Amino acid sequence: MIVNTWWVSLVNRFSSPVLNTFEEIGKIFILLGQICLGILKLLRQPKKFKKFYYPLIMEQMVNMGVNSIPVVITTALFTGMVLAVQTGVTMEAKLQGASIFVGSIVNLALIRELGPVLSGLLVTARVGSAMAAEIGTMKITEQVDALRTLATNPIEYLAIPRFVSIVVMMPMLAIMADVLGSLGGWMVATVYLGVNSHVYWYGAQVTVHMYDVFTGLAKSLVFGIILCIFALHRGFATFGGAEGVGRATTGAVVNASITLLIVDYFLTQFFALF
Amino acid sequence: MLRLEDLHKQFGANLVLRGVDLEIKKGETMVIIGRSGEGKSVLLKCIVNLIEPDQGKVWLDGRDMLQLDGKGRDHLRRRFGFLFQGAALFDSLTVEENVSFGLRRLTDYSEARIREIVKEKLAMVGLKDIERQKPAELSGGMKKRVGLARAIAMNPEVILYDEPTTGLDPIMADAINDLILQMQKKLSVTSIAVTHDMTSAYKIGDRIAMLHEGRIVDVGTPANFKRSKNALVHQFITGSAHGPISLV
Ligand SMILES: Nc1ncnc2c1ncn2[C@@H]1O[C@H](COP(=O)(O)OP(=O)(O)OP(=O)(O)O)[C@@H](O)[C@H]1O
Ligand SMILES: [Mg+2]
Repeated sequence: MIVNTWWVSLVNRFSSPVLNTFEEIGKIFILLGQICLGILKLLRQPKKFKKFYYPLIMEQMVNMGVNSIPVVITTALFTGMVLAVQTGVTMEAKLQGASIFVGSIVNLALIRELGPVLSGLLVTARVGSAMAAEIGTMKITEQVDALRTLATNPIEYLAIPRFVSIVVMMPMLAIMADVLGSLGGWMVATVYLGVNSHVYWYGAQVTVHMYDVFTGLAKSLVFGIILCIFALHRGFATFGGAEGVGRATTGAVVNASITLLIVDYFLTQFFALF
Repeated sequence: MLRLEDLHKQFGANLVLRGVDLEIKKGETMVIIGRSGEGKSVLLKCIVNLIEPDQGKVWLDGRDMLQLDGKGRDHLRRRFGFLFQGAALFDSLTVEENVSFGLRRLTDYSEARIREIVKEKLAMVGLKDIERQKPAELSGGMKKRVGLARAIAMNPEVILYDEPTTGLDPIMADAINDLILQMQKKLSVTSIAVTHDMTSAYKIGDRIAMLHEGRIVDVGTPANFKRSKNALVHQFITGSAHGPISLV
């Protein structure tokens, strides 16, 4: 009897990617758990933390955070400017008087949405890729194994400093994106659209509340965790030479970006409840 | 002191280790020979549990290393030094930071003391004044020797060498052989060395074991090995393309 009919192979073909995805998700949560436990453990050893991890974290903060500032603020500046033009010119043409809302629209969109999302995507591309490539290379050249032989846990040594730096730096980058985007919008509004500076800032003031700022920062924190964990997971799972490192890097950036956008939707829905 | 019992490891359909039994006595240097791709590196990694064997046990002083939790394992690993086949130096760190990695993290020696130890270990492997260089700036043989310096930095009881002399010029290779002998004599280190280099195997080995098709096919002193009646051993040590070992 031939069991291997067309539908069996069809099921096999579609079930294995699904199973792989679930396996991947499981592994990511395990990694996240290990990192959190590791951090808790380190917090109980302040001496060790100060001696080894403080310098590592500082180095990563400069690498990931400070060096990302130029990209993030340039992007934010131009996004703010574009938003202002779209509101003050495009919208104005269809709905007369729309331009008095420039300040409200630009600032609300940036603070709730574009600041965190754009900085998240840019940092994924810039830092997530580098992180996956670096750890992937260490994996295939046996440096990760070498850490173990020196009685050092690779998660503690490699993952925790990167994770902590991203979690601290992401919200800060989002704040910078917000500020620069807002200034970009203001520039266009006052210089090009002829909106009174006072009207721009008044619009921002009445629409943007503390809660909006909070949701934006909470989002950026979550995005930081997502991009970091995907990059670390892919890096540590690297095998198969230079090609494997390439695969890890691409996989980290693509998966983190998609997840980031999907999670963004659900977070937005969730925050809209209150 | 170290006993391997029925170690099995396979990667997918590739059966690499198929029941390795081997006992290494305290203070002895055991040389493992075998063809490329036989699983010698895999065997060394199984001993320190960098690779989890599918089956079998690794006994160290009567304790099963594979049964330990992460902490106990880390503790035991401090008793081991491991020289990787490809050196596996941390390429974002300098030579000095590589060699002192374990000392900095696991001991509370003073900075001056650590520097002194690094200098001393580098001198032992025939290197000096390269502390500030990065691994990328070193030659293959230099990397290997820095890797060796890192492996011996913490004065381990057991050292696992994966091809210590490959990639070195003959004079340096002999110096490294001397170093391995010295470590055994002066510090009574127990060693396992994987090598293809028969000159080195005869010189450093108290006993030699041959790995073939996933099992240890013969163990004996260098003198016994030279006179071995085992056709596999004979073919290997004479380096002949003709004999019972097929090329493919
Ligand atoms: N991480 C791994 N994943 C899959 N297969 C592996 C892995 N490591 C080793 N192998 C396979 O195990 C076998 C033995 O490899 P190993 O590196 O131990 O050989 P070796 O005896 O050290 O050879 P050489 O003398 O060339 O170093 C090879 O067939 C290799 O393809
Ligand atoms: Mg090998």
